[in-house]
Amino acid sequence: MSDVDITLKVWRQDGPDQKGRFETYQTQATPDMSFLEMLDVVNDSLEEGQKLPISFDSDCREGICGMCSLVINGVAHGPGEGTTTCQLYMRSFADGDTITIEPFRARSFPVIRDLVVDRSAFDDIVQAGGYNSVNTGSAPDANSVLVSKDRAEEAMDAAACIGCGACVATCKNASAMLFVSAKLKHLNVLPQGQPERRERSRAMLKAMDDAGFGHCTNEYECEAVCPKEISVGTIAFLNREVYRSSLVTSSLAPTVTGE
Amino acid sequence: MFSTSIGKKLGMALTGLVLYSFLIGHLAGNLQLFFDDGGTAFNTYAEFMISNPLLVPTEFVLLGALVLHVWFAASLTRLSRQAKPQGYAVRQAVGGRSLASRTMIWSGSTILIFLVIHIRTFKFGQTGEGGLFALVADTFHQPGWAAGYVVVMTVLGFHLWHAMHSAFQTLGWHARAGWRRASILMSILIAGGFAAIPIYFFLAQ
Ligand code: SF4
Ligand code: FES
Repeated sequence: MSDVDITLKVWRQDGPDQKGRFETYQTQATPDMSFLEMLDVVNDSLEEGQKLPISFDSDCREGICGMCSLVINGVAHGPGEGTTTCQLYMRSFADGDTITIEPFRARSFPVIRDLVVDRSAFDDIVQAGGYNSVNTGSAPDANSVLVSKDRAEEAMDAAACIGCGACVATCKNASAMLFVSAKLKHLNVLPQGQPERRERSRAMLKAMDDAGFGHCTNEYECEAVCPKEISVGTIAFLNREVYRSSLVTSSLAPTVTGE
Repeated sequence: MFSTSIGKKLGMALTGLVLYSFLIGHLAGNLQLFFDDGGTAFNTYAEFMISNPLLVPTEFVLLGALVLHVWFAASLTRLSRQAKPQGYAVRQAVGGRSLASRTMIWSGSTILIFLVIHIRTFKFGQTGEGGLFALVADTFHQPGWAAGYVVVMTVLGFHLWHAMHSAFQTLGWHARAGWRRASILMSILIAGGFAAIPIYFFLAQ
């Protein structure tokens, strides 16, 4: 495959309260360049011309940290299933393509600069209940706490969420339910998560609402863009957990170990 | 509970299902309009319903469900607009987003307006010799009324298209493609059944 000529339309915004605008750039990329490398090259040439480079987030660049973002041609993390923006390659685009790049949009994800948004609202939700605070002592003997394979798989599937925020970005309601359900489920299905199960459901729902995220209208766009392919069945689980937690008050809730 | 986002969704789902069951019952009763007996069966059924002591309480339950459904919808739509003040310049629909799911608030509003007209025409309309059957027949002999009803029933079908599987997902019962298919099939059956009535009377005159 040969090099591709690309026209970029990039959202530029100087600061949180500034008005943003699209700016157009021409660039050349090789098919084996990652999308972020392509942006690095654009930034190099901007810097050479004494212009401010495009701000965007990234860290691991191998799809595990959840730092990269971007809405590329109207799709969070761009084309390709189960991939983050850092795992997107320029071979996904054809010569002469125009690519529009926008920041994740949600009231709870304010733009800091250009394509960088503040996703700390997610941290607030995890701080509200996405942990176990009960002291479990030293490491238990192997197999003393039994977890069935299916259970373990379910927990692992949910735990795969990297907190990137693509679910919120793509949702027309800016709903964070896929993220919240994943962060809740990986604890709520395991024995270690049981003592705080109801408290957790309640606290995380409240934190989600307080952070200003929308509600879910079951259109499943989040599932389609999630780089970790978290299923919307997880959202149904969250719904069940919330109903359950409101039926039994926490002081009366039995401490269940395992299920 | 009903002040949280998930609680409001639960409210939408529960009231929606109440209204959904009413639609099924209403359609089942209306099927008697198709009996070739000059309206005897349908008029008897209509009389039975009107004189039934359970009618008024049922109407209140339905009215309550409707008011709550609209209330939750308005509140959630406001929440959603606040949560996403700015959209994208370029937008591609992915996943299960459909024309029907995107326009729930508009199809719902259309049905709400229709309901006012519908109740005025048939519940509080003047019935003469031929009873309610004759009123239905006369109304749908007019092309404007017949066409209008068919259009609104199509809109109703759109609303139901996304309704049932969405309600069950909210209730925590996720069964993927199964619910979707059932939801779509039901929407076609119900909307098609209702739309068949004006078409039938218009053609039969
Ligand atoms: S659920 Fe998926 S899209 Fe949402 S934050 Fe987690 S990994 Fe990202
Ligand atoms: S940069 Fe870490 S997931 Fe993309």
